[in-house]
Amino acid sequence: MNILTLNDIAYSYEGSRQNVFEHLSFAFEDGKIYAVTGRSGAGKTTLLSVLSGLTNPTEGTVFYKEKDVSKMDRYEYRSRYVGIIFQSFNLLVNLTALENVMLSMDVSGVKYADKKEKAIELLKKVGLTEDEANRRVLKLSGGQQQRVAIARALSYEPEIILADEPTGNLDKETENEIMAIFTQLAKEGKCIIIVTHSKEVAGQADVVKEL
Amino acid sequence: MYLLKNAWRNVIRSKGRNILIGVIIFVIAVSACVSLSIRQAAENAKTAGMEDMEITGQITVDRQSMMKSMGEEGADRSQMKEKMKEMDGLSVDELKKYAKSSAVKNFYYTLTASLDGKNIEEVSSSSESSESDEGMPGGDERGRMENSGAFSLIGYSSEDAMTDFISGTCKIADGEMFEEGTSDKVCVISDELASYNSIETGDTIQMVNPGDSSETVKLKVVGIYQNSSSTSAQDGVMTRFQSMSDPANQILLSYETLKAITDDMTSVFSQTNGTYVFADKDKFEQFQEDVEGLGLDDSYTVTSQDVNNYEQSLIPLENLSQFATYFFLVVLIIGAIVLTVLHVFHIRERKYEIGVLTAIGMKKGKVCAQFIMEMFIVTIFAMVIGLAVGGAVSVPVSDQLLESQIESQQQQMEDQEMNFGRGMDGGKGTSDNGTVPEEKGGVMNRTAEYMSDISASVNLTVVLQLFAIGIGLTLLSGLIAVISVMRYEPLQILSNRS
Repeated sequence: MNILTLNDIAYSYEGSRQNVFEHLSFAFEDGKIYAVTGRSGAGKTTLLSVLSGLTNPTEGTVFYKEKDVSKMDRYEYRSRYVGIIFQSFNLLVNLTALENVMLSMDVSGVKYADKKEKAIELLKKVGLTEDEANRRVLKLSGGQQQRVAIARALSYEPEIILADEPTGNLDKETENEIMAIFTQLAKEGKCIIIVTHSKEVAGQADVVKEL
Repeated sequence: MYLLKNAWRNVIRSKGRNILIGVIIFVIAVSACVSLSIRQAAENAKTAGMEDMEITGQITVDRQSMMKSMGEEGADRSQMKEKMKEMDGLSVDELKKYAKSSAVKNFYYTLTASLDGKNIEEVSSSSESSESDEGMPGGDERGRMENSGAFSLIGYSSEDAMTDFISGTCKIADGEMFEEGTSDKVCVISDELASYNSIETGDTIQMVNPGDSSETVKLKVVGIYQNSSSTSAQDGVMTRFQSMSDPANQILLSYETLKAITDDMTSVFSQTNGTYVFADKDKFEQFQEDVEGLGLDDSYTVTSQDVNNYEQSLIPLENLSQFATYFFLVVLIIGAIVLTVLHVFHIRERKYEIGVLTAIGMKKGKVCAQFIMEMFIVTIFAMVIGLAVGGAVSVPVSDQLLESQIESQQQQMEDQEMNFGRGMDGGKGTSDNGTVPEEKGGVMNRTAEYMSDISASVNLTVVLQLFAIGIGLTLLSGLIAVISVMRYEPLQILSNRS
């Protein structure tokens, strides 16, 4: 089933006449991993911003299950249906890893009886110990912060995971572990869209979309 | 709920910046607390003082407004003189008419007449005073055509009118007071007059019309009273020339007796004074309106020496209250500016946090609410500490300020008295019914008493006012700061950061 559909979209930054991409039409289905590749400046991260509702396309429409995303409550869309893993993590530095994850769960509005346990379990799943989970984010390495960002995106069980270079800061072994998690999530019916330069990551995707 | 939890966590984890904001709010709170306490104390003292105070008032000729209106009509001095002569005090019947106002708690009146003695000599170094026509007790205009005597006879409508006996300034030392409402030719004289003329209770004195020596009246002395303030009053400048105004030369009778005497004599100066008693100042003000409705001419006005004296005694407190108000406004304005600037910088510093929170789906309104909650937590903590410290320091600070105000006021009064060549015991005036002098120095004593009222000044009203100010300042400065950042979109913030 198509969960996200791009209908002839184009995007140009404010003040610029040149489109980053144009006439882009594509359908993302649930239960699949997509790899978006392309040279630097091709608009991979911009496309991710459009898909996550952080910005609207300048032309065309993005549909989430037949609903025009630009007409939806984009805060609700981001907090419930889409999990975003930013390239620069974008974690709250004055909070611990655990608190970052739990805050996303709070923001999504979904009630969890065992919120803390679930968050710890999730952090363990991405390779962090309980001790690391209780550390402030600034006291974690880049790779550990990457894992916290992944755990945060998965915390409220969104239907779509958008990841911008999610394994960029990880070693080969952890990269494989993270990709295994994504594969598992895809099997559970989620749509995983990964922007990557890595041929290995692209190789594990069901569909590769080159910009 | 999670917003409050986040807000609390952020406050705890950002101690440095929150302590800085807290210190500023603390300073504002202490300053505001002191200012509000002083203002509140002034209000309390004013209200409480007036609540306890039974007010007396009189209807007097309003010469000032009369002259003004005549001046506007183009009247010359002789016309004004004529008009003033016509403006005798109100008659008893007229005075009684205004006493029907519901605001009046009690009403009494006195009749004052001036006669010479036949077998009695006034207590005075001057024996040539009868030609003078100035300085009558009561202070109102009197006719120059009439003759004034050496003695002042005062007729009282009731014992309520004898305020000096009620207050204890005067006491019967021998014999007894005449019956209320009696028409018998009986009187009460001062002990000084009695001993000066070797008069005892039961003796008869003979009074004579100063304008017609053939008109005499005999009065039996039924009592001799002691006046605790009359001795010092003899030092007054006026009494050297006017023995009549000397309290020792005042002969007290019932209104009915004196009325009969003055009716029987020709061209005797007499004057009726009505005194209205009110439960409080509101009633006094109501009476001022009522008399207009009852037809009191514009040439008359309702005055109260009690209210005037009381208001004068409050000057130091009001000066202090005014100073406190200005100080409070300055603190509030500077505080609002400093807090707003600080909050704007504080929020701008947290722009990235706003970007992350909105990127993960937290609505801007919620982000705003969380930030405002943080500000409130800091504000409330700082306010509570500020209130405690402010409460503790406001009493000594107010006392100190009030003391300096009183000292300055006293100095001013002393200088004034010195300029008139009077001693430090304060000038002496006369009471409204012209009977006994009243000490002006009492005003300062009364003011000094208010200092004790300041102690109870940090009350619930001050606490509520302070919290209202805190909430207002936080909302104002916080909203300005938050709005300044809320216009950014998360993508814009995060892109710039990247």
